[in-house]
Amino acid sequence: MDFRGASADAVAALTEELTTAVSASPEAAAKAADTLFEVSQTLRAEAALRRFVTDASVPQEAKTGLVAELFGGKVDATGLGVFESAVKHRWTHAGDLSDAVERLSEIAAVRSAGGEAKRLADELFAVQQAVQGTPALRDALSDPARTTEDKAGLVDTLLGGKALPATVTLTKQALAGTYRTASAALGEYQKVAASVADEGTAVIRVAAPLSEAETTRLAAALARKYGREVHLNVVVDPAVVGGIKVSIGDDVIDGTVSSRLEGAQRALAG
Amino acid sequence: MTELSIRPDEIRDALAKYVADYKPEAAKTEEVGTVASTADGIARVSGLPSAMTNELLEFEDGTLGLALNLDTREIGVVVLGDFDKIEEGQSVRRTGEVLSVPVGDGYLGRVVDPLGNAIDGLGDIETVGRRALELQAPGVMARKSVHEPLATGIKAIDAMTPIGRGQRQLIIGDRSTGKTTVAIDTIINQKQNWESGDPDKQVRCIYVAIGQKGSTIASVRGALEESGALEYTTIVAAPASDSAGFKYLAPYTGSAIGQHWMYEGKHVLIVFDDLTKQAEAYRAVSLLLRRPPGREAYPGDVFYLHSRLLERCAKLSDEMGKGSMTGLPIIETKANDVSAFIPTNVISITDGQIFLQSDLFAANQRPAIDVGVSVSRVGSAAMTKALKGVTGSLKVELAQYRAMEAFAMFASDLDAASKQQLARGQRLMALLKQPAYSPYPIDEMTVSLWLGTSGSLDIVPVEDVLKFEREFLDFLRRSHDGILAGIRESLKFEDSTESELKKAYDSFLNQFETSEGHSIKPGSAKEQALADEDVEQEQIVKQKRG
Repeated sequence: MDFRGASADAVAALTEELTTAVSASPEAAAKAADTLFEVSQTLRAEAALRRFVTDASVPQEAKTGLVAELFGGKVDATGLGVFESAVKHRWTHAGDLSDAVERLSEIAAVRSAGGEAKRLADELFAVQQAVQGTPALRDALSDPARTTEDKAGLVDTLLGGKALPATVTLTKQALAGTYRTASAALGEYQKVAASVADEGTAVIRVAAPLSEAETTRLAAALARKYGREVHLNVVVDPAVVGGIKVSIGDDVIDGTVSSRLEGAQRALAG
Repeated sequence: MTELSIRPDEIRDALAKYVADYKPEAAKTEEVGTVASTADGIARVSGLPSAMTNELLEFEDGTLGLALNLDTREIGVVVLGDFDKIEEGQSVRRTGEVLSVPVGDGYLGRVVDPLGNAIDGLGDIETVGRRALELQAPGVMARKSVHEPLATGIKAIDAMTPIGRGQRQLIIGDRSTGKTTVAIDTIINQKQNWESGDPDKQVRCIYVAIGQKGSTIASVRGALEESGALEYTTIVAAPASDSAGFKYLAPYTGSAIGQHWMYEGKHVLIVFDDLTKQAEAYRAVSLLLRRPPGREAYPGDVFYLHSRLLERCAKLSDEMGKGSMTGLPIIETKANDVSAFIPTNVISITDGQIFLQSDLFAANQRPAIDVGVSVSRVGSAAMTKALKGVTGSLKVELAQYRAMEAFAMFASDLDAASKQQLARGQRLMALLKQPAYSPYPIDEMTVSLWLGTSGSLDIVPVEDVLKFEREFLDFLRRSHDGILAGIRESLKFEDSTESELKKAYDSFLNQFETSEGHSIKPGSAKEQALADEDVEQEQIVKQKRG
């Protein structure tokens, strides 16, 4: 999702508005997340509606009136309020509005985790690893022959009761196809979660699990280097043999024994 | 004398120490991107936000790529090499180097690929530094006008469209008309300059083969090696089997190697064989990168592709070291059409062209240079004084001959002046023929052209012109070497030289025989008396009627 120009300004303003509206109450955030997601899917499906509400020449009262008529009473008030403000902004493309509303629903879903933001980030990472690591699961979630409800049922079976409701919501949202694949969507959601918490995300590959002290030390070191808090996602990979490999943003810090062995092999091969 | 013997356990210990000495660097931070999609030699890489334009990126299997398109979220990378091992999801690293090649004198005599790696199996090349491929050409104040000649050794070129050091002269013609041969002859002709050891005379040569068959490049190398020209020539090879990225880069590599020498004050000759294939490779790369196509599907900047390459050939001013780089780009036309897109582009960039006609080639006029259309915009400033003295009327006579040629079949019905023009023109055209890989040194060329323009060949039958020239030069070398030496040393054609030549010519006429065995000396024709019975006398018979 790339917002440029007027759309970028609009998204920034709406994010602030949403944050003020839901930061106090996680339940309100969860309801707003569902509302905004439904609205974004409706906008994606109905091109005429999308074009009408993003048309700069139509007076604002007409747009907000239409929105209130269409959605009033059927959806949650907070979410609807945010959508009505969204319609009042200028958008560079019609498609940007549906993208923005979906982005707002992601932010709301993250906020609905309340104090468990760290657990949410960990769980999103775990789900992503599960999807990426199990081809059968990945195929099942992207099967065009099954309906979205069936796939949502699969997600419930898998995660229900074990994960936070916010995780379940987001995983179901990942099935909608905005980010092409489910694992790509989950990656984006992790980024959103990190930006809401004003943190960076790092994937750490180690041969054996890290102790508490080591994890804290690593997090502190990375925070010093990158200037903000970093959320660590640890993957235990025996192939690494020893050492740590940190992938953070676009950078990779490779101190693993396996890469040094590779380097030695290349040096000997000449 | 003991033999050197290395025991296996010594090898084992040495290797163990070698491995123990290996100190891996501490973990360093690298910026890593991922391949988002790859096909047909182009990879799209996401990530790598600090990649620079034209930066070399390295894929997981060690292949290099060139970052050409920097889009908002992706980089369009041209793979320089085999792309079948590159997969989606692989990591890509920056090398931090904008496209550059190593440069230095170690390149002389070697065959390299467009990234500067040796491919002739003779070991690594010693280099003195790296030079970026996209540096600007010298500015106006850094240049001087072209005033030194670059002798090609080909009579037709040096006499009428001479090339100077620092000039760009286009060699243009259909396929198989002898374009590469002209360029190779020029390179071979620099041998004497090289052996003189004088840095003002020596010319380092670079032959850039773009999209040529491997067998052609090998035969070119063989020809250069045989004539001893390989020791001062570098071959940059991007054969037809290379990827489009290499073919696009090869001329810039050659130019960078040459510019390094040029800025050191040396003279360089660079041949681009040929630029049509480079334009086609660039078109392939641009279409795959989804750049909008223009005329003939070439991208919009195909003119800039060639102009920035050829502008780097220049003659530098005295303050900049007096170096020069002469460019001989080669363009292949289809059906002799010089008004197609790429030929017109390059004609407008270069300082003249040598046009090779397929009709002339088929009619055995080789080199098949079309004298009327070929032009050199530098002209007499690049001609040695010796040649200037003997070629004064050559162009005019040939132009008159061409105008008269249509009447050649009615030769018997023309007046004497026209017949004389035809005869002179035919002999001049025969004189301009020259076998491949045999360039003429300046002294022999001067004498040969003097023979033509002074009318000394008018009594020689047309089919014997070359025989006469060859034997006359032989005669001079054996008995009158002083004349040749004089021209060679002074590089001038004085009146005294001319009179000596006339005397030598007169004495040579005594011994020359045509291919039929006759002498051509005036007054030597002997008539045979007829036998008595063959003499017929008309008789007037009176008939009586009655």
